Amino acid sequence: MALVEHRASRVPWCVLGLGVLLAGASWQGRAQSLRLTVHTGKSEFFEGEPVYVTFELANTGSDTVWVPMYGLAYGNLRATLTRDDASVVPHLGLHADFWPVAGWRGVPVPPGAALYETAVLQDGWGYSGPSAPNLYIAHLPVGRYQLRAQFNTQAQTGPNREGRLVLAEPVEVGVRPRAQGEEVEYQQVKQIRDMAWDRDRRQQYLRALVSWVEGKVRTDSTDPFLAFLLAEGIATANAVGQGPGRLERNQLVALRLDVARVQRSLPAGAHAIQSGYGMDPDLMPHRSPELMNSLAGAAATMFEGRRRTPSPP
Amino acid sequence: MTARTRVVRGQFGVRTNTRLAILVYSTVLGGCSSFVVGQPQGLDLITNSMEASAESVFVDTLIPQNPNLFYNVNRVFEGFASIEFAWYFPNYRLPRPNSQLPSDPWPDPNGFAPQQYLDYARVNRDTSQFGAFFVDHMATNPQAGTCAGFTGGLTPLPDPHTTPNSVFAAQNSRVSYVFLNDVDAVSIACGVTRENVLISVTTHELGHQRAGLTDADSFPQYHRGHVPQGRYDVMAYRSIQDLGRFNIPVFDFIDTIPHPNDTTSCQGNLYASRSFRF
Repeated sequence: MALVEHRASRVPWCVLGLGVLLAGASWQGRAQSLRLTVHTGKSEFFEGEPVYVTFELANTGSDTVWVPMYGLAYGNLRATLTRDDASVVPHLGLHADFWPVAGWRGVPVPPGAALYETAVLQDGWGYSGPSAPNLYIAHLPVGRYQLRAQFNTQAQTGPNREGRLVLAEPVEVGVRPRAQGEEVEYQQVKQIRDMAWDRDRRQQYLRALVSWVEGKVRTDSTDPFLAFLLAEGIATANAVGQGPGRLERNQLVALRLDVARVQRSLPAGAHAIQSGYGMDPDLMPHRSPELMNSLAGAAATMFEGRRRTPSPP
Repeated sequence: MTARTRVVRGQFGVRTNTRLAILVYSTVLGGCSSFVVGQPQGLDLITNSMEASAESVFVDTLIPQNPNLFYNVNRVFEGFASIEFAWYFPNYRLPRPNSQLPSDPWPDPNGFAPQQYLDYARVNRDTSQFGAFFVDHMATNPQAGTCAGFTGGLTPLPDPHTTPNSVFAAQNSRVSYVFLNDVDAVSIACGVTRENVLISVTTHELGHQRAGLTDADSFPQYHRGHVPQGRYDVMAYRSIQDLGRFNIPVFDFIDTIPHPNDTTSCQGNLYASRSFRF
């Protein structure tokens, strides 16, 4: 739309109107080829276990589709969590404001390509409770939930303003009480996360986290906390002034790749990949053959492309 | 710089106390036209504390390079809703997000990033006040020399679909981040006035934070007021080139008479939030 407006002073109104109609019709047609899928990997989690979610927006058509900035923070991708009594679970998230350059068309999604966003539900959905705010931003109590997602193709500006909603199939998620072994592990992780908020123990936070993760990768790299600690856990370290140095970052990239490889079909694997490219893009390998044909591998392909062209087009 | 400060153009220390109508002049193609946005009639001035902090690298440049920033942002909120911010600077030198690596950029706001932005604010600000952090460079924003779209700022918000236009009382939502170096870099690359871009971005973010204002493009039902000819509602996304055109942005509004139950304009929703207390 911005491009059309820019030309308005030089183009007769009737031609402009026809152009807008054709552009709108063309966009509507292309948007039909978008498919939004929510991946949770499994349907039951223990209370306090990170609930990883991957939102996949795929172009199943034969033409490139231009879409608004993709990601929960940009508001076009939206997820709603409801309880089985239909009440909406509160959500506190980041709201990022993207300003385009004049004539910006959007983010291109070529035929067969997809965009990925990963999250941990407790990063913003939930209530005050025993696991918040130190372990998670919000606490997700025992219960049954339904997760819905939609992507609004209405760009913040550009030619897509008359867009439409792309809806994902709702996903059911259950949170059950912890079993005994899960309780032990939950308490271990919670104690590590509490260290970041204890001034006397803050300096030991990063070392304790990395040590726990290394040990767990050696014994059980399918552990559900690993990707979370390597992403949100390090984010907290950065925030409280205890971020990793260069040597530790190499170590963390290797750990993320280990977790992504073992959990490559799960959103946790994709989350490990997203944190790798988000925190240390220059240290991530160009392509990892072990991730091919997996959710984590597909996410890696997208982030790899973003690394080559870091600026919005 | 620990004192609570009133702001005057170009320096800390004094704030203009005029109660006269604010004049905003607009330049449009083919000539100039002027209009007046009147301060809402019969409303006392509400004063909210606003903690401002910046990364160390900007301490010596933020004000000299942007002498109208705090003053003009105040003029917008005062002019449309008789709300002023008493800016103060208790922790002006913010640490880098990763103190181990001074060049580390701020992360893309998606994925794991809410944890970092919320935790950083939890550590580095007065949670009893509103707050604005002026920080460096976000990883996925354009590099210097590139005129491209960019994420100018972000604010923690509850889901606006379920709680539009309401001030969120939770402590961890009382902050806005503005990516100062990216504002500079993009403005220079695009050839627009960077202080104007900064004022618009900051006003937009504080609109989210102070009154829960929605984005006009996503929620047009709350932005049905009018704006003066040639202007646009600062809560709407316009191009970087548009951001650079005016040094006093505007909210959409109905008129200068308070409409306490109106939710169809920024001004109406600002009115509704005036009495908010933490």
